[in-house]
Amino acid sequence: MIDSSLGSDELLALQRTAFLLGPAVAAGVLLLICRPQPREAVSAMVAFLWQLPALLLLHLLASHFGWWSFGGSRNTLLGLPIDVWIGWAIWWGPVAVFLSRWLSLPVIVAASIAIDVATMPVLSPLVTVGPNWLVGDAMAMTLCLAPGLWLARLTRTDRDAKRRAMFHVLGWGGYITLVIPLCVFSYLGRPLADLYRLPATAMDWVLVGVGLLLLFIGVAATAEFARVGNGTPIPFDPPKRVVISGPYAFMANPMQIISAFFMAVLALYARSWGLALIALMFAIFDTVYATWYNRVHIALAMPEAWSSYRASVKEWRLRWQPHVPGEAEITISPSGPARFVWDRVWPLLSRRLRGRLTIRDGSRATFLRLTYRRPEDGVEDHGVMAAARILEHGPLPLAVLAWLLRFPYFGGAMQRLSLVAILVWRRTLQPAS
Amino acid sequence: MSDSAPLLASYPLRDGALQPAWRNRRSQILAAAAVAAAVLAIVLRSPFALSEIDDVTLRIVFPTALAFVLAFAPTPGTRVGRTARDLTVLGLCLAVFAGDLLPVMLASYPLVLMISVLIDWVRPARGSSA
Repeated sequence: MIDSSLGSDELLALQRTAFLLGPAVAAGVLLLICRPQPREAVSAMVAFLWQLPALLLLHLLASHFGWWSFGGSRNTLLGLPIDVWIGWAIWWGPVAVFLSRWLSLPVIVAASIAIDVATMPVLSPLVTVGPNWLVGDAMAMTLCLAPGLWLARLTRTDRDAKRRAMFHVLGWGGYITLVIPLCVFSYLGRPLADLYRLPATAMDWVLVGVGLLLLFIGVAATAEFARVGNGTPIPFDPPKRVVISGPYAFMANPMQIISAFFMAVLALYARSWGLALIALMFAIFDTVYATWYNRVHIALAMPEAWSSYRASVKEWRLRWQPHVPGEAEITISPSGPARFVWDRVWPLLSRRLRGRLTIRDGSRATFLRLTYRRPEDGVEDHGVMAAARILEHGPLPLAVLAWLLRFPYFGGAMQRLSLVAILVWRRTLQPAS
Repeated sequence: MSDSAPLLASYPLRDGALQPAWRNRRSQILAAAAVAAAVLAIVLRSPFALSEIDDVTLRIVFPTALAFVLAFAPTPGTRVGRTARDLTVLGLCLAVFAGDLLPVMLASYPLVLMISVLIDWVRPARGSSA
Protein backbone atom coordinates (compact mmCIF):
# COMPACT_ATOMS: atom_id res chain seq x y z
CA MET A 1 0.00 0.00 0.00
CA ILE A 2 2.84 2.40 0.89
CA ASP A 3 4.89 3.21 -2.16
CA SER A 4 8.65 3.34 -1.72
CA SER A 5 8.75 6.90 -3.02
CA LEU A 6 6.32 8.76 -0.83
CA GLY A 7 5.15 12.19 -1.81
CA SER A 8 5.62 15.08 0.57
CA ASP A 9 1.94 15.13 1.52
CA GLU A 10 1.95 11.40 2.20
CA LEU A 11 5.10 11.56 4.30
CA LEU A 12 3.66 14.48 6.24
CA ALA A 13 0.44 12.57 6.88
CA LEU A 14 2.38 9.54 8.10
CA GLN A 15 4.52 11.69 10.37
CA ARG A 16 1.47 13.33 11.89
CA THR A 17 -0.16 9.96 12.39
CA ALA A 18 2.94 8.63 14.11
CA PHE A 19 3.15 11.68 16.36
CA LEU A 20 -0.37 11.04 17.61
CA LEU A 21 -0.58 7.28 17.72
CA GLY A 22 2.98 6.66 18.92
CA PRO A 23 2.57 8.49 22.25
CA ALA A 24 -0.99 7.18 22.64
CA VAL A 25 0.13 3.57 22.24
CA ALA A 26 3.15 4.17 24.52
CA ALA A 27 0.86 5.62 27.20
CA GLY A 28 -1.52 2.67 26.88
CA VAL A 29 1.28 0.12 27.17
CA LEU A 30 2.80 1.89 30.17
CA LEU A 31 -0.64 2.09 31.77
CA LEU A 32 -0.97 -1.67 31.50
CA ILE A 33 2.57 -2.29 32.71
CA CYS A 34 2.47 0.17 35.61
CA ARG A 35 -1.08 -0.54 36.85
CA PRO A 36 -0.85 2.80 38.65
CA GLN A 37 -2.43 3.68 41.95
CA PRO A 38 -5.22 6.25 41.54
CA ARG A 39 -3.00 9.07 42.76
CA GLU A 40 -0.32 8.23 40.18
CA ALA A 41 -2.99 8.19 37.47
CA VAL A 42 -4.14 11.61 38.63
CA SER A 43 -0.56 12.85 38.44
CA ALA A 44 -0.35 11.63 34.83
CA MET A 45 -3.62 13.41 34.07
CA VAL A 46 -2.50 16.73 35.55
CA ALA A 47 0.78 16.50 33.61
CA PHE A 48 -1.22 16.06 30.40
CA LEU A 49 -3.50 18.95 31.32
CA TRP A 50 -0.45 21.13 32.00
CA GLN A 51 1.06 20.36 28.61
CA LEU A 52 -1.85 21.51 26.44
CA PRO A 53 -1.74 25.23 27.32
CA ALA A 54 2.04 25.15 27.84
CA LEU A 55 2.69 23.63 24.41
CA LEU A 56 0.30 26.06 22.75
CA LEU A 57 2.10 28.97 24.37
CA LEU A 58 5.42 27.45 23.31
CA HIS A 59 4.13 27.20 19.74
CA LEU A 60 3.13 30.87 19.76
CA LEU A 61 6.60 31.77 21.00
CA ALA A 62 8.23 29.49 18.42
CA SER A 63 6.20 31.12 15.65
CA HIS A 64 7.08 34.59 16.88
CA PHE A 65 10.81 33.96 17.24
CA GLY A 66 11.14 31.64 14.24
CA TRP A 67 12.42 28.68 16.26
CA TRP A 68 10.48 26.18 14.17
CA SER A 69 7.34 25.79 12.11
CA PHE A 70 5.07 22.90 11.20
CA GLY A 71 4.06 21.73 7.76
CA GLY A 72 0.49 21.14 6.68
CA SER A 73 -2.61 23.26 6.93
CA ARG A 74 -5.33 20.73 7.76
CA ASN A 75 -6.48 20.30 11.37
CA THR A 76 -4.21 22.98 12.75
CA LEU A 77 -4.55 25.62 15.43
CA LEU A 78 -2.61 28.73 14.41
CA GLY A 79 -0.17 26.53 12.53
CA LEU A 80 0.12 23.89 15.27
CA PRO A 81 -1.12 20.51 14.01
CA ILE A 82 -3.76 19.34 16.48
CA ASP A 83 -2.62 15.72 16.29
CA VAL A 84 0.98 16.71 17.04
CA TRP A 85 -0.26 18.91 19.89
CA ILE A 86 -2.23 16.08 21.52
CA GLY A 87 0.48 13.49 20.90
CA TRP A 88 3.15 15.79 22.30
CA ALA A 89 1.03 16.41 25.42
CA ILE A 90 0.62 12.65 25.92
CA TRP A 91 4.36 12.10 25.35
CA TRP A 92 5.42 14.74 27.90
CA GLY A 93 2.42 14.02 30.11
CA PRO A 94 1.39 10.44 30.94
CA VAL A 95 4.30 8.76 29.14
CA ALA A 96 6.94 10.86 30.91
CA VAL A 97 5.13 10.52 34.24
CA PHE A 98 4.93 6.72 34.04
CA LEU A 99 8.58 6.60 32.95
CA SER A 100 9.47 8.61 36.04
CA ARG A 101 8.94 5.40 38.00
CA TRP A 102 12.31 4.29 36.64
CA LEU A 103 13.96 7.56 35.58
CA SER A 104 14.55 10.73 37.53
CA LEU A 105 13.26 14.09 36.33
CA PRO A 106 16.70 15.36 35.19
CA VAL A 107 17.31 12.14 33.25
CA ILE A 108 13.95 12.44 31.48
CA VAL A 109 14.62 16.07 30.60
CA ALA A 110 18.14 15.23 29.38
CA ALA A 111 16.84 12.32 27.32
CA SER A 112 14.15 14.54 25.81
CA ILE A 113 16.74 17.13 24.83
CA ALA A 114 18.89 14.40 23.26
CA ILE A 115 15.90 13.04 21.31
CA ASP A 116 15.01 16.55 20.11
CA VAL A 117 18.59 17.32 19.05
CA ALA A 118 18.81 14.05 17.14
CA THR A 119 15.41 14.13 15.46
CA MET A 120 14.06 17.64 15.01
CA PRO A 121 16.41 18.72 12.18
CA VAL A 122 15.46 15.62 10.15
CA LEU A 123 11.68 15.73 10.66
CA SER A 124 10.95 17.57 7.43
CA PRO A 125 8.31 18.10 6.07
CA LEU A 126 6.52 18.04 9.46
CA VAL A 127 9.02 20.27 11.24
CA THR A 128 11.24 22.97 9.78
CA VAL A 129 13.71 24.28 12.34
CA GLY A 130 14.99 27.85 12.39
CA PRO A 131 18.50 29.03 13.24
CA ASN A 132 17.82 29.41 16.99
CA TRP A 133 15.69 26.36 17.49
CA LEU A 134 17.83 25.10 20.39
CA VAL A 135 16.77 28.19 22.34
CA GLY A 136 13.20 27.13 21.68
CA ASP A 137 13.99 23.61 22.82
CA ALA A 138 15.42 24.95 26.07
CA MET A 139 12.24 26.97 26.48
CA ALA A 140 10.19 23.83 25.84
CA MET A 141 11.95 22.04 28.67
CA THR A 142 11.58 25.02 30.99
CA LEU A 143 7.99 25.87 30.18
CA CYS A 144 6.47 22.49 29.42
CA LEU A 145 8.28 19.27 30.33
CA ALA A 146 10.03 20.09 33.62
CA PRO A 147 7.10 21.92 35.25
CA GLY A 148 4.69 19.21 34.12
CA LEU A 149 6.83 16.48 35.67
CA TRP A 150 7.34 18.53 38.81
CA LEU A 151 3.60 19.07 39.17
CA ALA A 152 3.02 15.35 38.62
CA ARG A 153 5.54 14.41 41.27
CA LEU A 154 4.04 16.82 43.81
CA THR A 155 0.59 15.45 43.03
CA ARG A 156 1.65 11.81 43.27
CA THR A 157 3.33 12.34 46.63
CA ASP A 158 0.65 14.75 47.86
CA ARG A 159 3.26 17.35 48.82
CA ASP A 160 3.40 21.14 48.73
CA ALA A 161 -0.23 21.95 48.04
CA LYS A 162 0.58 25.64 47.60
CA ARG A 163 2.91 24.94 44.70
CA ARG A 164 0.45 22.49 43.18
CA ALA A 165 -2.23 25.14 43.43
CA MET A 166 0.08 27.65 41.76
CA PHE A 167 0.54 25.27 38.84
CA HIS A 168 -3.22 24.82 38.59
CA VAL A 169 -3.75 28.58 38.62
CA LEU A 170 -1.27 28.97 35.77
CA GLY A 171 -2.64 25.97 33.90
CA TRP A 172 -6.30 26.88 34.23
CA GLY A 173 -5.42 30.47 33.42
CA GLY A 174 -3.84 29.12 30.24
CA TYR A 175 -7.05 27.30 29.36
CA ILE A 176 -9.46 30.18 29.92
CA THR A 177 -7.29 32.90 28.41
CA LEU A 178 -5.48 31.00 25.66
CA VAL A 179 -6.57 27.46 24.77
CA ILE A 180 -10.35 27.86 24.82
CA PRO A 181 -10.50 31.31 23.16
CA LEU A 182 -7.98 30.29 20.47
CA CYS A 183 -9.86 27.07 19.74
CA VAL A 184 -13.20 28.90 19.53
CA PHE A 185 -11.87 31.69 17.35
CA SER A 186 -9.95 29.32 15.11
CA TYR A 187 -13.03 27.14 14.65
CA LEU A 188 -15.26 30.10 13.87
CA GLY A 189 -12.63 31.67 11.61
CA ARG A 190 -12.63 34.92 13.51
CA PRO A 191 -9.55 37.14 13.82
CA LEU A 192 -7.79 36.91 17.18
CA ALA A 193 -7.55 40.69 17.21
CA ASP A 194 -11.24 40.74 18.20
CA LEU A 195 -10.21 39.35 21.58
CA TYR A 196 -6.55 40.12 22.10
CA ARG A 197 -6.78 43.89 21.73
CA LEU A 198 -6.48 46.92 23.92
CA PRO A 199 -9.75 48.24 25.36
CA ALA A 200 -11.33 50.76 23.02
CA THR A 201 -14.46 51.90 24.82
CA ALA A 202 -15.60 52.58 28.37
CA MET A 203 -17.49 49.28 28.31
CA ASP A 204 -14.28 47.51 27.30
CA TRP A 205 -12.50 48.99 30.31
CA VAL A 206 -15.33 47.92 32.59
CA LEU A 207 -15.14 44.39 31.20
CA VAL A 208 -11.37 44.29 31.65
CA GLY A 209 -11.80 45.47 35.23
CA VAL A 210 -14.47 42.87 35.96
CA GLY A 211 -12.38 40.16 34.32
CA LEU A 212 -9.31 41.02 36.39
CA LEU A 213 -11.41 41.13 39.57
CA LEU A 214 -12.82 37.70 38.78
CA LEU A 215 -9.36 36.27 38.15
CA PHE A 216 -8.12 37.84 41.38
CA ILE A 217 -10.90 36.21 43.42
CA GLY A 218 -10.35 32.92 41.63
CA VAL A 219 -6.67 32.92 42.55
CA ALA A 220 -7.53 33.90 46.14
CA ALA A 221 -9.98 30.98 46.35
CA THR A 222 -7.43 28.54 44.94
CA ALA A 223 -4.82 29.77 47.40
CA GLU A 224 -7.30 29.23 50.23
CA PHE A 225 -7.83 25.64 49.13
CA ALA A 226 -4.09 25.10 49.33
CA ARG A 227 -3.37 27.02 52.55
CA VAL A 228 -6.27 25.80 54.64
CA GLY A 229 -7.35 22.63 52.91
CA ASN A 230 -3.97 21.33 51.75
CA GLY A 231 -5.45 20.51 48.37
CA THR A 232 -6.23 21.90 44.94
CA PRO A 233 -9.29 22.69 42.81
CA ILE A 234 -8.82 19.47 40.81
CA PRO A 235 -11.66 17.15 41.95
CA PHE A 236 -9.27 14.19 42.18
CA ASP A 237 -6.79 16.18 44.30
CA PRO A 238 -9.15 18.12 46.56
CA PRO A 239 -8.69 19.75 49.98
CA LYS A 240 -8.55 17.45 52.99
CA ARG A 241 -11.23 19.41 54.83
CA VAL A 242 -14.23 21.57 54.03
CA VAL A 243 -12.71 24.99 53.38
CA ILE A 244 -15.03 27.69 54.72
CA SER A 245 -12.68 30.67 54.96
CA GLY A 246 -11.53 33.27 52.47
CA PRO A 247 -13.87 33.59 49.47
CA TYR A 248 -15.63 30.42 50.65
CA ALA A 249 -17.09 32.37 53.57
CA PHE A 250 -19.13 34.33 51.01
CA MET A 251 -19.92 31.80 48.31
CA ALA A 252 -19.83 28.01 48.10
CA ASN A 253 -18.42 27.70 44.59
CA PRO A 254 -16.33 30.80 43.83
CA MET A 255 -13.94 29.17 41.37
CA GLN A 256 -16.71 27.61 39.31
CA ILE A 257 -18.75 30.81 39.23
CA ILE A 258 -15.67 32.78 38.31
CA SER A 259 -14.80 30.48 35.42
CA ALA A 260 -18.32 30.81 34.00
CA PHE A 261 -18.50 34.57 34.49
CA PHE A 262 -14.98 35.10 33.17
CA MET A 263 -15.89 33.29 29.96
CA ALA A 264 -19.04 35.43 29.76
CA VAL A 265 -16.90 38.55 30.17
CA LEU A 266 -14.57 37.34 27.38
CA ALA A 267 -17.62 36.67 25.20
CA LEU A 268 -18.87 40.21 25.75
CA TYR A 269 -15.43 41.71 25.19
CA ALA A 270 -14.95 39.83 21.92
CA ARG A 271 -18.65 39.89 20.96
CA SER A 272 -18.41 36.14 20.43
CA TRP A 273 -21.36 33.75 20.49
CA GLY A 274 -18.87 30.88 20.57
CA LEU A 275 -17.38 32.03 23.85
CA ALA A 276 -20.89 32.69 25.16
CA LEU A 277 -21.71 29.03 24.46
CA ILE A 278 -18.62 28.00 26.41
CA ALA A 279 -19.69 30.22 29.31
CA LEU A 280 -23.12 28.56 29.23
CA MET A 281 -21.51 25.12 29.27
CA PHE A 282 -19.37 26.15 32.25
CA ALA A 283 -22.51 27.30 34.04
CA ILE A 284 -24.30 24.02 33.27
CA PHE A 285 -21.32 22.06 34.52
CA ASP A 286 -21.17 24.10 37.71
CA THR A 287 -24.88 24.05 38.41
CA VAL A 288 -25.55 20.39 37.77
CA TYR A 289 -22.48 18.20 37.76
CA ALA A 290 -20.25 20.02 40.27
CA THR A 291 -23.17 20.32 42.67
CA TRP A 292 -23.84 16.60 42.35
CA TYR A 293 -20.14 15.84 42.79
CA ASN A 294 -19.98 17.83 46.01
CA ARG A 295 -23.15 16.21 47.32
CA VAL A 296 -21.93 12.70 46.65
CA HIS A 297 -18.26 12.98 47.50
CA ILE A 298 -17.58 15.81 49.93
CA ALA A 299 -20.93 15.60 51.72
CA LEU A 300 -20.53 11.90 52.38
CA ALA A 301 -16.85 12.08 53.27
CA MET A 302 -17.29 15.02 55.66
CA PRO A 303 -21.04 15.14 56.36
CA GLU A 304 -21.21 17.35 59.45
CA ALA A 305 -18.79 20.00 58.26
CA TRP A 306 -20.38 20.09 54.81
CA SER A 307 -24.02 20.26 55.93
CA SER A 308 -23.25 22.96 58.49
CA TYR A 309 -21.41 24.99 55.85
CA ARG A 310 -23.97 24.56 53.09
CA ALA A 311 -26.82 25.50 55.39
CA SER A 312 -25.33 28.98 55.56
CA VAL A 313 -23.41 29.47 52.32
CA LYS A 314 -25.07 28.83 48.97
CA GLU A 315 -23.85 28.33 45.45
CA TRP A 316 -24.53 31.15 43.00
CA ARG A 317 -25.54 33.44 45.88
CA LEU A 318 -23.00 35.94 47.15
CA ARG A 319 -23.23 36.86 50.84
CA TRP A 320 -22.56 40.44 51.91
CA GLN A 321 -21.38 39.33 55.33
CA PRO A 322 -19.14 36.29 55.82
CA HIS A 323 -20.12 32.99 57.36
CA VAL A 324 -17.75 32.58 60.32
CA PRO A 325 -19.06 29.85 62.62
CA GLY A 326 -16.05 29.09 64.82
CA GLU A 327 -14.43 31.23 67.46
CA ALA A 328 -11.44 33.27 66.35
CA GLU A 329 -8.62 34.00 68.75
CA ILE A 330 -6.54 37.10 68.16
CA THR A 331 -3.30 37.61 70.04
CA ILE A 332 -1.75 41.04 69.94
CA SER A 333 1.51 42.22 71.43
CA PRO A 334 1.09 44.63 74.37
CA SER A 335 3.50 47.09 72.76
CA GLY A 336 5.30 47.83 69.54
CA PRO A 337 4.14 48.88 66.07
CA ALA A 338 1.45 46.21 65.81
CA ARG A 339 -0.09 47.46 69.06
CA PHE A 340 0.25 51.06 67.90
CA VAL A 341 -1.75 50.35 64.76
CA TRP A 342 -4.17 48.06 66.59
CA ASP A 343 -5.14 50.71 69.19
CA ARG A 344 -6.06 53.14 66.44
CA VAL A 345 -7.79 50.81 63.97
CA TRP A 346 -9.62 48.31 66.15
CA PRO A 347 -12.18 50.77 67.64
CA LEU A 348 -13.22 51.77 64.11
CA LEU A 349 -13.15 48.26 62.71
CA SER A 350 -14.70 46.12 65.43
CA ARG A 351 -18.26 47.38 64.86
CA ARG A 352 -18.21 46.10 61.29
CA LEU A 353 -16.95 42.59 61.98
CA ARG A 354 -18.95 39.37 62.29
CA GLY A 355 -18.21 36.25 64.28
CA ARG A 356 -16.87 35.58 67.75
CA LEU A 357 -13.51 37.22 68.27
CA THR A 358 -11.52 36.72 71.42
CA ILE A 359 -8.67 39.18 71.88
CA ARG A 360 -5.71 38.50 74.11
CA ASP A 361 -2.51 40.29 74.90
CA GLY A 362 0.32 38.03 73.85
CA SER A 363 3.93 37.75 74.82
CA ARG A 364 6.77 38.78 72.56
CA ALA A 365 7.61 35.20 71.79
CA THR A 366 7.78 35.78 68.06
CA PHE A 367 8.81 38.64 65.85
CA LEU A 368 5.32 38.87 64.37
CA ARG A 369 3.14 40.39 67.09
CA LEU A 370 -0.31 39.72 65.68
CA THR A 371 -1.69 36.21 65.52
CA TYR A 372 -5.08 34.97 64.27
CA ARG A 373 -6.28 31.44 65.02
CA ARG A 374 -9.42 29.53 64.15
CA PRO A 375 -8.42 25.97 64.98
CA GLU A 376 -11.81 24.46 64.16
CA ASP A 377 -11.54 25.74 60.60
CA GLY A 378 -7.82 25.09 60.17
CA VAL A 379 -6.86 28.75 59.99
CA GLU A 380 -3.78 30.27 61.58
CA ASP A 381 -1.92 33.33 60.38
CA HIS A 382 0.55 35.86 61.67
CA GLY A 383 1.45 39.48 61.04
CA VAL A 384 -0.07 41.10 57.95
CA MET A 385 -1.75 37.80 57.07
CA ALA A 386 -3.43 37.79 60.49
CA ALA A 387 -4.59 41.37 59.97
CA ALA A 388 -6.09 40.28 56.66
CA ARG A 389 -7.86 37.40 58.42
CA ILE A 390 -9.45 39.90 60.80
CA LEU A 391 -10.64 41.98 57.85
CA GLU A 392 -12.30 38.85 56.46
CA HIS A 393 -14.78 39.07 59.33
CA GLY A 394 -16.08 42.24 57.70
CA PRO A 395 -18.41 42.82 54.77
CA LEU A 396 -17.41 41.89 51.23
CA PRO A 397 -15.34 45.00 50.36
CA LEU A 398 -13.20 44.54 53.47
CA ALA A 399 -12.83 40.87 52.65
CA VAL A 400 -11.68 41.69 49.11
CA LEU A 401 -9.04 43.97 50.64
CA ALA A 402 -8.06 41.08 52.90
CA TRP A 403 -7.69 38.70 49.94
CA LEU A 404 -5.44 41.27 48.31
CA LEU A 405 -3.30 41.46 51.46
CA ARG A 406 -3.01 37.66 51.53
CA PHE A 407 -2.66 37.29 47.76
CA PRO A 408 0.10 34.84 46.81
CA TYR A 409 3.51 36.54 46.57
CA PHE A 410 1.96 40.01 47.09
CA GLY A 411 0.97 39.00 50.62
CA GLY A 412 4.47 37.68 51.23
CA ALA A 413 5.92 40.97 49.98
CA MET A 414 3.61 42.89 52.32
CA GLN A 415 4.70 40.69 55.20
CA ARG A 416 8.35 41.43 54.49
CA LEU A 417 7.58 45.12 54.15
CA SER A 418 5.96 45.03 57.57
CA LEU A 419 9.06 43.40 59.00
CA VAL A 420 11.15 46.23 57.59
CA ALA A 421 8.71 48.71 59.11
CA ILE A 422 9.06 47.01 62.49
CA LEU A 423 12.84 47.24 62.29
CA VAL A 424 12.64 50.92 61.38
CA TRP A 425 10.21 51.45 64.27
CA ARG A 426 12.54 49.78 66.72
CA ARG A 427 15.63 51.67 65.66
CA THR A 428 14.30 55.12 65.00
CA LEU A 429 10.71 55.72 66.00
CA GLN A 430 10.24 53.64 69.15
CA PRO A 431 9.27 55.93 72.05
CA ALA A 432 11.67 55.78 74.95
CA SER A 433 10.25 53.48 77.61
CA MET B 1 -29.12 8.64 48.17
CA SER B 2 -28.58 6.35 45.26
CA ASP B 3 -24.81 6.58 45.10
CA SER B 4 -22.38 4.49 47.00
CA ALA B 5 -20.69 6.40 49.78
CA PRO B 6 -16.96 6.94 49.62
CA LEU B 7 -15.18 6.96 52.96
CA LEU B 8 -13.11 9.83 54.22
CA ALA B 9 -10.08 7.56 54.50
CA SER B 10 -10.09 6.95 50.77
CA TYR B 11 -11.66 10.27 49.72
CA PRO B 12 -11.65 11.16 46.90
CA LEU B 13 -9.85 8.19 45.36
CA ARG B 14 -10.33 4.51 45.96
CA ASP B 15 -7.51 2.35 47.23
CA GLY B 16 -5.74 -0.16 45.04
CA ALA B 17 -4.10 -0.16 41.67
CA LEU B 18 -6.18 0.68 38.61
CA GLN B 19 -7.14 -2.55 36.87
CA PRO B 20 -8.75 -2.71 33.44
CA ALA B 21 -12.20 -4.28 33.48
CA TRP B 22 -11.49 -6.74 30.65
CA ARG B 23 -14.16 -9.22 31.80
CA ASN B 24 -16.91 -6.73 32.49
CA ARG B 25 -19.78 -7.44 30.07
CA ARG B 26 -20.84 -3.81 29.86
CA SER B 27 -17.27 -2.74 29.12
CA GLN B 28 -16.99 -5.33 26.38
CA ILE B 29 -20.23 -4.12 24.76
CA LEU B 30 -19.13 -0.49 24.92
CA ALA B 31 -15.72 -1.31 23.45
CA ALA B 32 -17.34 -3.37 20.70
CA ALA B 33 -19.65 -0.46 19.90
CA ALA B 34 -16.66 1.86 19.63
CA VAL B 35 -14.80 -0.49 17.29
CA ALA B 36 -17.93 -1.05 15.19
CA ALA B 37 -18.48 2.71 14.89
CA ALA B 38 -14.86 3.16 13.82
CA VAL B 39 -15.08 0.43 11.19
CA LEU B 40 -18.30 1.91 9.84
CA ALA B 41 -16.83 5.42 9.78
CA ILE B 42 -13.76 4.21 7.90
CA VAL B 43 -15.92 2.28 5.41
CA LEU B 44 -18.07 5.35 4.83
CA ARG B 45 -14.97 7.44 4.26
CA SER B 46 -13.26 4.94 1.95
CA PRO B 47 -11.52 5.09 -0.37
CA PHE B 48 -9.12 7.66 1.02
CA ALA B 49 -5.63 8.58 -0.05
CA LEU B 50 -2.56 7.93 2.08
CA SER B 51 -2.17 11.68 2.43
CA GLU B 52 -5.43 11.67 4.41
CA ILE B 53 -4.30 9.08 6.94
CA ASP B 54 -3.60 11.74 9.56
CA ASP B 55 -7.13 13.10 9.22
CA VAL B 56 -8.60 9.60 9.56
CA THR B 57 -6.40 8.98 12.60
CA LEU B 58 -7.37 12.21 14.32
CA ARG B 59 -11.09 12.04 13.59
CA ILE B 60 -11.75 8.30 13.76
CA VAL B 61 -8.91 6.21 15.19
CA PHE B 62 -8.01 8.45 18.11
CA PRO B 63 -11.58 8.95 19.41
CA THR B 64 -12.08 5.19 19.09
CA ALA B 65 -8.93 4.51 21.08
CA LEU B 66 -10.16 6.90 23.76
CA ALA B 67 -13.54 5.18 23.82
CA PHE B 68 -11.88 1.77 24.03
CA VAL B 69 -9.68 2.80 26.96
CA LEU B 70 -12.59 4.47 28.72
CA ALA B 71 -14.81 1.43 28.21
CA PHE B 72 -12.31 -0.82 29.98
CA ALA B 73 -11.36 1.73 32.65
CA PRO B 74 -12.15 0.73 36.24
CA THR B 75 -15.88 0.96 36.83
CA PRO B 76 -16.80 4.26 38.49
CA GLY B 77 -18.04 3.98 42.05
CA THR B 78 -21.20 5.98 41.58
CA ARG B 79 -24.18 5.46 39.31
CA VAL B 80 -23.82 8.94 37.83
CA GLY B 81 -20.17 8.14 37.14
CA ARG B 82 -21.12 4.92 35.40
CA THR B 83 -23.79 6.66 33.33
CA ALA B 84 -21.38 9.45 32.42
CA ARG B 85 -18.79 6.87 31.37
CA ASP B 86 -21.32 5.04 29.19
CA LEU B 87 -22.62 8.24 27.60
CA THR B 88 -19.07 9.47 26.99
CA VAL B 89 -18.16 6.26 25.18
CA LEU B 90 -21.34 6.48 23.11
CA GLY B 91 -20.57 10.14 22.42
CA LEU B 92 -17.12 9.16 21.16
CA CYS B 93 -18.80 6.56 18.93
CA LEU B 94 -20.89 9.37 17.44
CA ALA B 95 -17.88 11.69 17.28
CA VAL B 96 -16.22 9.60 14.58
CA PHE B 97 -19.08 10.62 12.27
CA ALA B 98 -19.18 14.24 13.42
CA GLY B 99 -16.67 15.67 10.95
CA ASP B 100 -16.30 19.38 11.47
CA LEU B 101 -18.90 19.35 14.23
CA LEU B 102 -16.48 17.50 16.51
CA PRO B 103 -15.34 20.69 18.32
CA VAL B 104 -18.98 21.56 18.99
CA MET B 105 -19.48 18.12 20.49
CA LEU B 106 -16.43 18.61 22.68
CA ALA B 107 -17.64 22.01 23.83
CA SER B 108 -21.04 20.54 24.67
CA TYR B 109 -19.61 17.79 26.86
CA PRO B 110 -21.08 19.32 30.05
CA LEU B 111 -24.48 18.41 28.60
CA VAL B 112 -23.47 14.75 28.81
CA LEU B 113 -22.59 15.18 32.46
CA MET B 114 -25.84 17.02 33.05
CA ILE B 115 -27.83 14.23 31.42
CA SER B 116 -26.01 11.68 33.59
CA VAL B 117 -27.08 13.52 36.73
CA LEU B 118 -30.64 13.94 35.45
CA ILE B 119 -30.91 10.22 34.68
CA ASP B 120 -29.81 9.45 38.21
CA TRP B 121 -32.33 11.98 39.48
CA VAL B 122 -35.20 10.33 37.59
CA ARG B 123 -34.32 6.70 38.28
CA PRO B 124 -35.18 6.46 42.00
CA ALA B 125 -38.68 7.73 41.20
CA ARG B 126 -39.17 4.56 39.16
CA GLY B 127 -38.18 2.46 42.10
CA SER B 128 -34.72 1.45 40.98
CA SER B 129 -31.69 1.49 43.23
CA ALA B 130 -27.94 1.80 42.83
